[in-house]
Amino acid sequence: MSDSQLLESISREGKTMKLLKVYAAILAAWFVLTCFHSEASAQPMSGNVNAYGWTFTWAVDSTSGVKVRDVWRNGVRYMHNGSLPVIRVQYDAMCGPFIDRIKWDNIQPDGAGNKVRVTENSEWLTVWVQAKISSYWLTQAWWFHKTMGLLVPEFGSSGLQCEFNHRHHPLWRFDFDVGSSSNNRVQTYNAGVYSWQFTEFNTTKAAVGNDVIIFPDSDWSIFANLHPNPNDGTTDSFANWDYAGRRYPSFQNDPWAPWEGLYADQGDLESASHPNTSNNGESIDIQDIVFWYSAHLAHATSAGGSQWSYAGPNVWLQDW
Amino acid sequence: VSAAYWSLCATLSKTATGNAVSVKVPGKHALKIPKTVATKGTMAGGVVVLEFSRPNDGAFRCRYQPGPTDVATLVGCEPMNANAGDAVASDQFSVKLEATAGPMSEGAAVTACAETVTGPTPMPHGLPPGFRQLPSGEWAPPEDRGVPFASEPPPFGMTGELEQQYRTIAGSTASARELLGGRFAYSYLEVIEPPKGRAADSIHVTLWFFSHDQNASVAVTMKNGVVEQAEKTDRWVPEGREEVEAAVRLAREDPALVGKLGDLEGGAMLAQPERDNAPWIGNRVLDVRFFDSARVSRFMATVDLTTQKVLRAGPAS
Repeated sequence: MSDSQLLESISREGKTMKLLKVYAAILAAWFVLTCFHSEASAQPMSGNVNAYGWTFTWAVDSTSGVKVRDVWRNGVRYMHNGSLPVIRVQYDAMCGPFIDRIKWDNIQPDGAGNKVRVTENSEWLTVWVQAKISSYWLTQAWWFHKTMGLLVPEFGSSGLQCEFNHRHHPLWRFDFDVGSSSNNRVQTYNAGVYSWQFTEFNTTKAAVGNDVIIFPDSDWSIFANLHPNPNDGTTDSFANWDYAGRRYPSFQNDPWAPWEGLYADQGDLESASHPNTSNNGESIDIQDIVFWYSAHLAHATSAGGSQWSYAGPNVWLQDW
Repeated sequence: VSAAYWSLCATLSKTATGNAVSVKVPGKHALKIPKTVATKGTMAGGVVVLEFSRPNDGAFRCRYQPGPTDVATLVGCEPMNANAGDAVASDQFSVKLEATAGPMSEGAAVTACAETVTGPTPMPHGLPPGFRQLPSGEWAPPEDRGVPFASEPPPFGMTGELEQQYRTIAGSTASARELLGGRFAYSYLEVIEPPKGRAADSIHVTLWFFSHDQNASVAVTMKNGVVEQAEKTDRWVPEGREEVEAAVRLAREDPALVGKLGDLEGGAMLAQPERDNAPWIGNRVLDVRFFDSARVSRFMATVDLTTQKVLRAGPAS
């Protein structure tokens, strides 16, 4: 073989090798993509957790974000269902309002393809998701403290759908079953004064204070105590309550689905077309109670689109 | 456990009429069961009963055994095994002597004091441990959420893969196809939860679609992969991923935006009229935004998927 033939042969082999490498790379990419896609789509939409005194099930199985169900702590039942059915958004001008709902197809997977992330650090066990709705990036999390009966439902938001100041109003729904489902009572506490809430209500922090306590009629030593955090804002004409109490029927856990979708519609809770879920004077004293909490997260245009803001109350689940 | 209360006492004495003395509590309250009641004089072996009257649930009775000193101690309560300090919802409590009790000596008396519990003591306020205070004064959750924690898939739980399979089955079922028409989009899956206190014994779900042909939502209910029912509903389901993609595609083709979008990312959500006079009310209309890497919208479009028209397009500001 002459030098030129040898060089030609090496060159041919080089091209073949290159071609083989390209094929191998394509095959590897296809394999990775296939595996990744398969893992991502096969991911469970729910999971059971039993750790650090907490027992609960998380689930993304409607449009109410990541839910926590059957929340027990140290053998005591506290909540049948906790969820974030809607984030209502209102702009100062020229845009919206919007009804944002976190659901499986707008939750973004992490690098490993996980949509729902369950993590733990030294203090907290956390179930959380990151969602993308148009230009909004949202986070929703449930923080379970490892040694105390403290649960923090968190909502975070960034992005500017329009360049105007606006407010996000996340609405959490807590189907508390403290001790049992049928005999819960609600009190609010303000500067040393307790007030009973005997019938369904919509009210504000300004009116009744920063503590709501839900407890069973038969045993006052266990209770859920919700109090807002400083970021949680104040009401306005668009979202005019912080706390709402409703008597439980099963459809109180339905996804948020307003029929009208109009400006004044606060969806399942307010519209005249939803008499079974609206504030219509039913007794909630010694009953199965669904409690709603709304935060009011202001986002100023000057802060830019990438700034994150957070809201969410502390929920103490106590057993004396 | 109680933060604020005041004492209410009932005294049954030899001079009292009948064998019980009641104290009525104004309004609805819970009363703490006392550990002891005070006795004076002889009870002749009688058992002291403290009775809490509950308007809707009947009486709640606690028995006290007199001791050698002037104290009778709680033995137990009916109908439940409540302990001293437990709260009982009541608007009245009374002190009684059981019929089996012997006569009271002259000057004898039984005094029971129940505390009115006004509510559990609220827990302390303040930022949760590990949460951060930002320079703006706002708080933020811990940056480090730690390492993955393994949770267990529950029985009859859904997965993304099953959802895909169910969508295919639903979309190929004649009753559903008829309602969906030729142009439709998938919105979401809803798990139908079993009644409280019962565990799931099947995979029971509703798949929600929006039919643009019908301009209405369609719900397909399935159990263990078999279609049970398909129906048209008036619920306005959230935008599905396919709808977002379709609206963004239509917007990109609009003459007002062609050539201006560069590498801006497109997204969309259902438009909601601020007043009830928007001409497109009742149609499936999406608010489309094209935004930069800082998630600030630069261009917008209002897209009607019912008519497949771009109603408005231009700069976001």
